[in-house]
Amino acid sequence: MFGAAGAIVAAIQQKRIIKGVQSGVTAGAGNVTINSVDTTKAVVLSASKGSAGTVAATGNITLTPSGGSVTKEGGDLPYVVKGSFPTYSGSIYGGTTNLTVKVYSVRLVNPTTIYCDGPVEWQVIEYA
Amino acid sequence: MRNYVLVDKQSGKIINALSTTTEGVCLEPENDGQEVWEITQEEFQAILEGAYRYWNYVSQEFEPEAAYKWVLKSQEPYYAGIVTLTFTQHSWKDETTTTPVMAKVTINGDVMEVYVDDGVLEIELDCPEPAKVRVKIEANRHETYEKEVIIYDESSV
Repeated sequence: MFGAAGAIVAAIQQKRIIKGVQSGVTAGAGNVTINSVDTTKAVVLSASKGSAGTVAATGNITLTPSGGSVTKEGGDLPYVVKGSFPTYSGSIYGGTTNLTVKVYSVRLVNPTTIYCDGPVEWQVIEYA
Repeated sequence: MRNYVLVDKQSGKIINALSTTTEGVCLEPENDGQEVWEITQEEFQAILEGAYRYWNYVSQEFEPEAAYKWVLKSQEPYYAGIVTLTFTQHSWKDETTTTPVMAKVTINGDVMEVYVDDGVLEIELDCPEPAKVRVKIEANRHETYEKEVIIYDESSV
């Protein structure tokens, strides 16, 4: 009998731990105004909705020329030489590829503002 | 669910957008040159996916980054001599427009800048002989136009 009542009290206290949850999705970077929270009792969760970055490839390349020509017009000086440069095609082989990826996140700036640095889904959870 | 957009008043550029279920949560303008208003869920989704990048204060519509394009009106084939290529400016919805713009025209590597304010861009090519001419037109918020124009010898017709 005593055991069951204790469990109910524990469950009620558990519900009171979270005071409030605010959420949203932002498409870009900037500040978002939120309802005031106690920053010492709030956490921000975020999931990046996009990424940015660069790929740098190093290695060897063999180029195959295509086209290009030089023609001379007129028999005596001064004569005109016309030309066009060839185009080259080839692919990189060997070497390494370096990938840099940035994912976006959110931080609490003050009790009423969060800053999103890009597209993110976020939640501000305030504990009692 | 409430959705908001933050826009730069001068350029119409979308700075941010927000979708939230929490009452009281909103985007925060950094200065008086920015404004926030409510949008639909569909508009928010399109902004999130990058389909819309600007708000057009004249037409009161969202637009993509490349809101304009050049359409070549001069019919092929082209023959050696003076060849005039006439382009008209169209919106992304394919309506003719007259939005003033500085266009960068590159002809076989030679670059020139042309100010277009009537929606018509004319390029005159002086080609006494048959040739292949690479034409490229670049302009702010316009799709880049690129084409290799072939100039034929009229006697070959």
